[in-house]
Amino acid sequence: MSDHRHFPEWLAAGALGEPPRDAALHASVCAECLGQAGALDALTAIDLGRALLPASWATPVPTGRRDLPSIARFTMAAAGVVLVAGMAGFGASHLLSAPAPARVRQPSPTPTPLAPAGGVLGATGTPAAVATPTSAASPTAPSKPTPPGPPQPARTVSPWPVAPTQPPATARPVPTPSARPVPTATPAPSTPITTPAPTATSSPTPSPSASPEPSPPPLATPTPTPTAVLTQLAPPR
Amino acid sequence: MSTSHDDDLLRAAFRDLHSIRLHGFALLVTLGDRRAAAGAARRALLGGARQVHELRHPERAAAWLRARALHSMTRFSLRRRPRPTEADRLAALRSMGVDGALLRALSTLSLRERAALVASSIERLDPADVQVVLGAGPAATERAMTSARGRYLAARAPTPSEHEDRSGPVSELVLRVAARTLSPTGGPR
Repeated sequence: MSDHRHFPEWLAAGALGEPPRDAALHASVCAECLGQAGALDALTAIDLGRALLPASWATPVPTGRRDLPSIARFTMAAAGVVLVAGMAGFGASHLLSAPAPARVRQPSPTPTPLAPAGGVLGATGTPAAVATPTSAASPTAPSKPTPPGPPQPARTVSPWPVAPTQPPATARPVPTPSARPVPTATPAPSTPITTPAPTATSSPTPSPSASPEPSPPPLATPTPTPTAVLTQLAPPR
Repeated sequence: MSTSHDDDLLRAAFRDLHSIRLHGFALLVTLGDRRAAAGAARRALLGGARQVHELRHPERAAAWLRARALHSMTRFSLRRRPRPTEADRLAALRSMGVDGALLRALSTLSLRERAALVASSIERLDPADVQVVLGAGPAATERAMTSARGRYLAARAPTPSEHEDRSGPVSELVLRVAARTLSPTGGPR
């Protein structure tokens, strides 16, 4: 009976060395003691090297900032520099060009009827002179007649003398006015160039108004025709 | 640059050397609780890799890692959280050769007793290493190991069919000593 107690004690001590002979003799014929020996053998059959690692351990375990890839750090630094540069450029552009557009685009309370007044500031005397630049500048003028209303008020109100002459022509119509000035120039300039014709009508006084309009009425002098008709209709005496 | 590279290599080698068996130790001590075992082993590996240069006895690194894992498991076991089922535990432990009877016998032990039993009887660590794992002196460690084995053997009640098929080093040693005792010449030494 004491052997039945000694054998488990030997097992519990770690089964170091050989067991006592009497305990071994007892255990060889005792099912319970052999079972305990088998239980200890079951522990030795366990292999910790076959443990399955978690799936999250497939990637290397980070140990701190020193394991951060240098590429990621470089990318973060570059992004920071670009962000600072963008903010500086944005601020500089706002500081340099802040108030100009607000002054140019002021609306006028009287759009259409006062359109000729812009011609005064533009140093062009008559409304006809105002109309000629638009027709000469835009070849598509016949399809879209020159709008007299909207473009002119900007000229009247704007205090800058340079601005009114050019911007309306470039802003509103088709932006290729200088592409074909020749075809439109042929009909229009014919009449102004023929202004020497009035001179041919022998008007000796060099009138300061070299306006082309007075010249056609003298050319189309119908005065001879009534007399000729009368002479033809008159019954022969 | 090269120093940092060497440190990275050293840490990687440290992890590769200890990670699998340390995780197996944690799985057994936690009775197949995957989450608790992975967390404890991971924290121990992180600490070991960080202080790999400060190890005064590199041959004790395995015991030191298990001590850290055991400390982490003790804290983790106090939390209220859902426990895995027995099927989940067995699934986690089956690759190492653990069956249901062994799992039930291990579950009768405390966390510290399981650590002592695994370190001494399964991993066959040196008694000095078991002292490091348990954080106790020689006498206390000896008492802890003896108590753990005794409780395990008492809980493990094998059926006759089990121990008839069992053949291990301890059983073979017992039978060999008994046969030599019964022989008239004392048997071969």
